[in-house]
Amino acid sequence: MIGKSLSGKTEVSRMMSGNLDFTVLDHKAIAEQVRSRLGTEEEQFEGEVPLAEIEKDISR
Amino acid sequence: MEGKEAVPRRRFVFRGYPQKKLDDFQKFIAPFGNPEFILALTCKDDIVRQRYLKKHDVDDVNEEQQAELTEDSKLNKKIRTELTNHFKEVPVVNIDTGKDSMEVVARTLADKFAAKVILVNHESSLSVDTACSNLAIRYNCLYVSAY
Repeated sequence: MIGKSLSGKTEVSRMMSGNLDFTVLDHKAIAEQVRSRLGTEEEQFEGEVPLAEIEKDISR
Repeated sequence: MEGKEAVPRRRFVFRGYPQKKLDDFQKFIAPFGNPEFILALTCKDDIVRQRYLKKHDVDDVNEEQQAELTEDSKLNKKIRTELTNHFKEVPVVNIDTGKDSMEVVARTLADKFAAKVILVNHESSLSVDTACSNLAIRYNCLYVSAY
């Protein structure tokens, strides 16, 4: 699903998963999960999460 | 099917296109296979502006923010052209979320992607299951055999 910012991707994703049984792979949400995995208790991971790490999580 | 459980077919939708480059996207998508569709959302710039004002609870969009929105719109056009040119065989579902209400959008999505059912009532001795199952897979339907 592609579309510029504020074109409704979030709302349409919700419809796709809620009504149509699609699994939505949202890079932004996955990036946040990866961020917590890359960081430690003492030091959080800062900056942009590497795309390769996000893709690894998705492929798993 | 004896001893085996039917595994439901999972369908995925990738929200957004963070790879930005077609080569990178192709490498990423290779294990999944080619996409079955491209869902292209759009809406007019003044709608984006209205949504921006509402989302950020501001009265106006400053020059810098406007430049970001314009840049994002240009990038999205480029991505769309690139993807549709590359995946020429893949159907593109265009949805204008500014023009259509969310009810219309939901209906459009359901028309395109909701499961449809092939119900066949037949004599048990007739061997129609394989043919009908293959049709159901081909047209993304559920096959129900009743005898």
